[in-house]
Amino acid sequence: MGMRTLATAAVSLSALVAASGAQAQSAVSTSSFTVVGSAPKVCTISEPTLSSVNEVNIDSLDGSTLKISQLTSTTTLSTLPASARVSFNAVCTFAHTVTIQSQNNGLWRDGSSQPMQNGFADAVPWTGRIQWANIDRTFVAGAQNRQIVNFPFPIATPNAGQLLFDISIQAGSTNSVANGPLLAGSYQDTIYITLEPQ
Amino acid sequence: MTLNRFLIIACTTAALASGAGATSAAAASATAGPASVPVTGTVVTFCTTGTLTNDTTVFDLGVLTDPNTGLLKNNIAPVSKILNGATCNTVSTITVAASPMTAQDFTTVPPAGFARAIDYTATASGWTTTPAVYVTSQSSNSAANQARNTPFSGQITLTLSSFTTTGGSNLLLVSDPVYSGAITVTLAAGN
Repeated sequence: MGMRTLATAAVSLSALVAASGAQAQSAVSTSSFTVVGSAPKVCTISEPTLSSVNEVNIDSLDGSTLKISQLTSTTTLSTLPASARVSFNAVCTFAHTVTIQSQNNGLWRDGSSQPMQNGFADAVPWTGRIQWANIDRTFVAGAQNRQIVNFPFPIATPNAGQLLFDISIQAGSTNSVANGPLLAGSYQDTIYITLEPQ
Repeated sequence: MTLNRFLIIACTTAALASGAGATSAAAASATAGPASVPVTGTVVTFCTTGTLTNDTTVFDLGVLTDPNTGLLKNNIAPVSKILNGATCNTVSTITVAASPMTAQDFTTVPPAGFARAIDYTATASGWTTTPAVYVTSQSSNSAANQARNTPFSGQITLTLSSFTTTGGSNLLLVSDPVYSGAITVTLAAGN
């Protein structure tokens, strides 16, 4: 009888523990959820705006074409100084590279592709400066050869704001001798500013 | 089951006692009234938030930003989740809690003009007259707990709304493949 009583007690105790455990588990109930989404990589850059800062010998910014008022001196036929600042509203939501690409590596006369050997020049180098995010860098499109040149600048963080691009042409600079005369013609370069993933 | 087994053992004990001294047992039964056996039981408090039917626990918002601006979209409105069979057999409290959606890869402080978190409002309705509401941008959420003074069984609808960029709507969101936040809905007995 003693063993039976003990067994009974044990069973009863187990039942109480089970009941107690069940009560603790069921008195509170929680459902968990997650909310997810993504923010894709976005880079934008606006049309250029001509700033009055550093503006020398500039006629206009027509759309995306920057026109120099007078490229050569009427007396020396060599290069006159010119400079301009062009700004862009830009955004990149991730680490990126901003690349300045010159299609001609300087202002080249239409139809020319190699430096002249007769004392005349047919290309004009320019110096560029970019200010964007945490960089302030200067570079030169030297006009030694007519070719595409790239000036890439990695940016380690997202950035938003104004991208400033300064372009300047030094007095008397040519792809021939300094202060040499320029051949008559139309001189141009096309510059691309690109924001892209690294 | 437990109660039945106890009664059987009690009878066996009485039979054994009878076998050990039948005379005294017979005398006792002549003077005592009918024995009373108290029968008691307990119904434990019970709450369940129920289950989702043909649904997952993930609110997938897809692309969060305007591809032209990098700003948070202003029309994010995910479909609500419905918990069916939510039940409490006593008075109860419903609690909703949530954390902002944060960029999972971009974990450093974002540069000026950017944010890496999104606030929103989580609302659990259907259980109480006044829904339980949690706004992740607020440090205090007194409306997140709501009491119900009667047992109840029914649906709880969880809705997410009012998504805003943490720090201001003019901030851009840093690019990240996963922004994630967590929400919990809790039913607890008592209030």
